[in-house]
Amino acid sequence: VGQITEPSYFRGLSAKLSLPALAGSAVLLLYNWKLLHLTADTQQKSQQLEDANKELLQLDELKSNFLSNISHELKAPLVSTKGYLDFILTQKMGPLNAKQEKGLKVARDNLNLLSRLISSLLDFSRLSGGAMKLRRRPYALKELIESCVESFHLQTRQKGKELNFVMNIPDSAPGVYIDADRIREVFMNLLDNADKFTATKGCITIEVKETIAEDEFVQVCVGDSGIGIPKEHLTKIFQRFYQVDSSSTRKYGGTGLGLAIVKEILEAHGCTIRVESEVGKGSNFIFILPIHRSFHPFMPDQSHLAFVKPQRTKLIEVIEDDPHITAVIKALLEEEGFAVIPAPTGIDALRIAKQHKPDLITLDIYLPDMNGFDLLSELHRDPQTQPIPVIVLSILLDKEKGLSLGAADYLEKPVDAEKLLDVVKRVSASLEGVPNMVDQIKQQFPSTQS
Amino acid sequence: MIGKILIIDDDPTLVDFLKLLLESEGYDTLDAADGISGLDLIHQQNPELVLLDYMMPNMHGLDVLRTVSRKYESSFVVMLTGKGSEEVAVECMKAGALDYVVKPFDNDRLLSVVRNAFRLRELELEKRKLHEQMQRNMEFWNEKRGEITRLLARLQSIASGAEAASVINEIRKLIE
Repeated sequence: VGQITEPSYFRGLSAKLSLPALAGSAVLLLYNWKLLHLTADTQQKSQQLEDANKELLQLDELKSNFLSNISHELKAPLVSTKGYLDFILTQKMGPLNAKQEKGLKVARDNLNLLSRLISSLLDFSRLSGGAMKLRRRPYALKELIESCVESFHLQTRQKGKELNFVMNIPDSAPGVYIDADRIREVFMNLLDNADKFTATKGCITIEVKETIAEDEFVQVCVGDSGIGIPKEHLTKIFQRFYQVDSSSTRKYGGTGLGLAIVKEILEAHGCTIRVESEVGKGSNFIFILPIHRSFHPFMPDQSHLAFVKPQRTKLIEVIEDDPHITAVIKALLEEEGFAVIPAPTGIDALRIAKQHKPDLITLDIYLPDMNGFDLLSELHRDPQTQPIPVIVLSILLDKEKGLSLGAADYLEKPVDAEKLLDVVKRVSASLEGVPNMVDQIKQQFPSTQS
Repeated sequence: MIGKILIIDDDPTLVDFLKLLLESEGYDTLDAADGISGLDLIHQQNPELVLLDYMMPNMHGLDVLRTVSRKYESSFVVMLTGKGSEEVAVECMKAGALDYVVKPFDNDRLLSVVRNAFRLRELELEKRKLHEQMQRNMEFWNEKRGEITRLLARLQSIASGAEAASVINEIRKLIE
């Protein structure tokens, strides 16, 4: 009586295990079970998170694609509209009276504005995907800036606005390691801004300043003498869709994306931008670009040889009278990281060769003012230009003659893109080495030349 | 008529405009709304120049371009691209386009590209003709050289003396 009768299924167990041990196992079992549950829970949660993340990424991509598609769709109807307007304005479809002409010009100008706005929307949709792919190559900073300024002049000339332009770029401006298309956007956006907020007769400056951070970066400044930016807006102007004065959209145009694009491009290069400004006096946008210091077998560490400038991008002079062929060759060579300087006539060609001492020349034999073969011998007669290798590009099959006059190579036109690049790379690679270095030092100390 | 141009673009308004612009300069025009019918027209009409849109439904402009440059040697292509990037331009030039125009374009720019394309086409065809001629000349010469070599071998077997040998040698050098 009063004896606790164990249930029969425990009887066998209790013979082997003491009660405390049994309790311990039970707790452990419970703990394990809970842990198992918890793990399953965590796994489920992380799966959910992962799914949510995937969805977000998809949505983001969808958004970028949507923006990009819609920009393209918006742009397509502009193409024929612009075409018709321009064509009607040439009066080839019949004469226009003054009122009609004025109205059509307003329509055309606004259409051009709309087209630019859509382009910047498109740019932004490309950038804001966060996946900005940079195609970085060594590039001559001076030439990049000069070509930006040239396109900028073309744009402003049409508007008939007079601006003073000051460029302060030393010849020793270093080579930079950048995505040239993108950095070109940076300059064009900053120049557009400077132009927009500067009245006629105002002044725009571009300056390449000193290098910083142990010559890792070079400072560049784009300034203007325009209306300036009030202090309270200075920190916000790089934000998307931000405009100092909401009425400025109407007054000055623009999407409020220009500076946001500039900042994103520079940040993708690991660079920063800041602004200094005073209302009524103007603004200075100061940013940095990474310097390219190429490895040179004879100069293991260039930083100790302060008098040797960092090896610049190879400069190629393209002597060719057809602007379209020049454009093609230029695009091809720039794609490969060469800097290109075009020369449309024989006279220009000689002047440019002496002045800029390009690393390589491509020469078309048919020139408006001179026979290409004569030009070739002229280049080889002059001690200043004699060492520059010349690649002849011609529709004439006169390889023998070209080579006998000292051409480094001879290619038939129309030139095969791959072939041209091969030859240019081969010839320019053969230039590397001691003589090049000696030349560089000579350039630094012109007095030793005489 | 100063030349026949085929316009391949899926935007009918733009096609209409391009026809107006090019015809006002005296060109003959044809048009197609997509790559496949465009290729058909090239096959039938053999236009000198093709203005080809880069982005089109059902056959990408680049594929059309590659087909034209491979199969229709006397039709040359100028690309119309919607994107302003140089990458696209270089891609097109590498695939055999003569030139490219970015949309929206200036009418004058388009016309000057077209004029230049016709000029380049002439030169290219001339070059091909000369090249063929040269090839034929080379073949002819190679044949003759074979004969001369055989004759020299016969001559060597029948002529004797140092002078004969030196003459044979000189002729050998000449034809090498």
